[in-house]
Amino acid sequence: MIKQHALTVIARLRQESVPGLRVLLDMIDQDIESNSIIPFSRLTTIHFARFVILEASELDGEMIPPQLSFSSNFDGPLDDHLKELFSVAGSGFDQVYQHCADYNAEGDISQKIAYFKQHSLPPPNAFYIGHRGLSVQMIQKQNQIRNAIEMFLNQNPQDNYKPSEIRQNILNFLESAGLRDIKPPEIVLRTLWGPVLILLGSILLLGLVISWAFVLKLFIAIVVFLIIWTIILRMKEKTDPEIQIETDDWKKDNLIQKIQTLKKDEDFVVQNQLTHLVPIKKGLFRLITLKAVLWAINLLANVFYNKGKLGNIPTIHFARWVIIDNNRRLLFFSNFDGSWESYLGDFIDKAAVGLTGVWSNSELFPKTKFLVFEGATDEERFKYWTRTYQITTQVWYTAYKNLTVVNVLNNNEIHQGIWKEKMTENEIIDWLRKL
Amino acid sequence: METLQIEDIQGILIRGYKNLRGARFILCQITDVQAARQLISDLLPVITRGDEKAEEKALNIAFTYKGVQKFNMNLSRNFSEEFQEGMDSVDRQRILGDYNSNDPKYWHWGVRNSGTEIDLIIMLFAPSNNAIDTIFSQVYENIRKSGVLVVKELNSEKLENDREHFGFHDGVSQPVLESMSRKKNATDDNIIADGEFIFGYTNEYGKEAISPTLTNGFDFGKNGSYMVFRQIQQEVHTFWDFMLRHSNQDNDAAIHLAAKMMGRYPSGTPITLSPLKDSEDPEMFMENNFNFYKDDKYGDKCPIGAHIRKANPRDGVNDNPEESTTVSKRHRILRRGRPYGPPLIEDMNVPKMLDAIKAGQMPEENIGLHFICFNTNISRQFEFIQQQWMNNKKFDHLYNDPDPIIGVDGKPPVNGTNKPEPPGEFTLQACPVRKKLLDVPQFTKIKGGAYFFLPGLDALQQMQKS
Ligand code: HEM
Repeated sequence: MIKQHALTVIARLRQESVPGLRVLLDMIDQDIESNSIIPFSRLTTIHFARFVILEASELDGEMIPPQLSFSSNFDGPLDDHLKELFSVAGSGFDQVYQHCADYNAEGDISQKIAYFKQHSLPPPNAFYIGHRGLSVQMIQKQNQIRNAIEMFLNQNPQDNYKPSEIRQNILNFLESAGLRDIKPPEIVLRTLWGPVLILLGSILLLGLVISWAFVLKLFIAIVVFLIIWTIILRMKEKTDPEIQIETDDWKKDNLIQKIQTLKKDEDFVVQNQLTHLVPIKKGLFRLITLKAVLWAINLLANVFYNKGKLGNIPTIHFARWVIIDNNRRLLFFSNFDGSWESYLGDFIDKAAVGLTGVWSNSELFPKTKFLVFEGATDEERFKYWTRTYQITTQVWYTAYKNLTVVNVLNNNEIHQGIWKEKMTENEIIDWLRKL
Repeated sequence: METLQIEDIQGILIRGYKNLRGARFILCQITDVQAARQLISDLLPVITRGDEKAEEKALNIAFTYKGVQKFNMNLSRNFSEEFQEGMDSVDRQRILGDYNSNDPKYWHWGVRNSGTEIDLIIMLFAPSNNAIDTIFSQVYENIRKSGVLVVKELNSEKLENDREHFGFHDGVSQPVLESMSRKKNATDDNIIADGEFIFGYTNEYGKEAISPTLTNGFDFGKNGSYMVFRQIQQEVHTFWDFMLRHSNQDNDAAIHLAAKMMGRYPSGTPITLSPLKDSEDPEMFMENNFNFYKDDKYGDKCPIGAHIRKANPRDGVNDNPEESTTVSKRHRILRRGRPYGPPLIEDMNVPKMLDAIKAGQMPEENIGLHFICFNTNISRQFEFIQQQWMNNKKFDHLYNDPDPIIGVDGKPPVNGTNKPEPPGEFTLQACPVRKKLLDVPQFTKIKGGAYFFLPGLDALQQMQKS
């Protein structure tokens, strides 16, 4: 089964080269698919990719220099992905990374790959994939197959046929159109059983090897720890400041201006993107809590939310949280279907608990209770907070700009159905419903 | 439960003035604020309030952001972004998909830098449009004295049997405000928190909508609402000609196809409850107690892309009826639209309309709907419905179906080049396999519009004093 991964490369920029880089990135973005600098549509391993300038900013009285973030969602091994980037668009990446402090454009491919690896972050703290096991190539092929079938049905009404006959007609058509020889991918999803068995196994092992009394003590210790943790948390939640809808004119105007630049890039294709950067609340307590929540979300994304919905949100292709700048800021990237307004609405309606669990550990988040309650459900305040910490994405690429997650998964089911040996009448009816 | 301060709320939020069949919308620019203050104070005694029955006449007024600004109110918290920007701004244009034939540059009114921007709307209702001049002669006198500039007067006369120009029963499904739900027989799914439509009350998130506030602490939004106004021209000939062409010119089949697209028959009967042919039972013409998930999950009866299903998906999306209901309840609007222009056939009998079309009779060009709706969060309610449901071809699990009545592709120009509007598709889900219409033309065009704020009566007092 093909695996999709997340690459995040963050390199320090020279302050004086930021304006020039902005112009260059803008040129790439103007014609994202086939510009001469980095013609993204020729990079066959990429689902989504983006360049983001993390502006210089002050954090706890200390200046963080400007940085350039490149991130991608790609198929297969990292080395193949990096090789493709530099063999297809090497000079383009040179042009971009010349603006970074320590990049050597004269080096050979292997040195550049080493540079990328050196500046790449470890795997995201949490990574969500909306359509597991489907490569970019497969997604595009499956869409071609689906389109062909639709065209066939449009031109050949099936009014007088039974379900099984319609299916046969479709298969015959695909045969004649040369679309019957592409095998669908085998997709095996992990389940909750794995982690549950590991947990039970460890308890059993501890009980047998050490003693059951020890397991009991450990259990009590965990409960005590959680009680203390909850008390501290509630104290913090009562006093932590939350964002106020700004009334100070100067700040308000700045924010409105930023929102306007953000909006200019939205709603051109079926999908949109969000880049969000927020300082983590000070102190070890929040940092550890955040890491624990992200760890849990990452686990659940792997073994439970792996069928196209995160929480209950059915519109996210890929999303990731990464902690950067020495554990001080939380960066979030997302590629989703539909408008910003509907995405934020989904956050609140369909996944408020999980998202509040993450972001309640970051600056000025709307007031929460017991880490996961309230917070995001304070609708207008939450949306205001999100816009406040959203940042501009200079370059954004999507490999299938006309497909939603729901479309991608449906296409796969159509494709799988074509290859099914035996289908009952009911299965055929269900399959035809996907058209 | 909350009680509405009904005497402080303008009447049109509380009732649709169904018996007042005539209406006029006077669109004005304010040239002299002092005189405009005088106008408000002249009108205040005759403005229809929520506690009046309004049997003979009604009058309500609302302001655009430009209009409110002229009164120099000292706001410590301003109106929402989308209201400040205005319907004809580039940002709202992008969200509403108003490009090509819907582009504000072709609008008859409401367009900045063209002399047609609006500050103030005065809405008059009377038993018939003809009666308005006499009934409101004093109001006209006040307007004349105040020196406000009348940019346009939009007239409306209701059509027979509450029909809109295509011939369908309109104004059937409305949200029932929670504090008024005891009076009406409503189902839980259709009872919506007051705060979704009136400022100062709890909304569907259990919060109060963020409301404009004066520096002296006065809640300026309280008992008010945002009013969305869109003048929508209807291409009645294109509409029925399309249905007839796809039905071998058979009237019954054409009406059935149109009902599939609307989600209700011309009578108002929901097609999901009576899938094969219209019901004879007049109760069904007003029926609104139905859902989609249980008996029509796949859209075999009411297609997924039908107008009423896209405008209010009820429990039918995302394969999760409970969640779907919660979500639908957070995107509702209170509609108060009125038709304009002469109908094709006086009595709105649809088969007769089709015969007239077949006989080559053309409807007047300039007819349609003055679409009006109320909400407290334009971007989450009206704009969301237009962008995320109507225009969104990917609604639920569809691939390429905009709303057949009011949806467009609506994608912004790329590097300055306009994308021409592609023809719409419409999928008729069916067992064993779907049918598709591939060349659905645009049946409606936007001809004007603005976002207004309809203040409560106390807030009007503040404006008059300011
Ligand atoms: C000329 C344009 C339009 C026509 C002819 C039209 C026609 C209709 C008709 C016949 C109905 C069914 C009867 C009823 O429940 O009232 C309806 C329902 C509805 N329409 Fe429209 N409409 C138009 C524009 C719009 C627009 C622009 C919107 C909002 C963006 C909208 C939103 C709705 C909603 C929310 C419902 C009620 C759905 C429900 O709760 O079942 N309509 N419309």
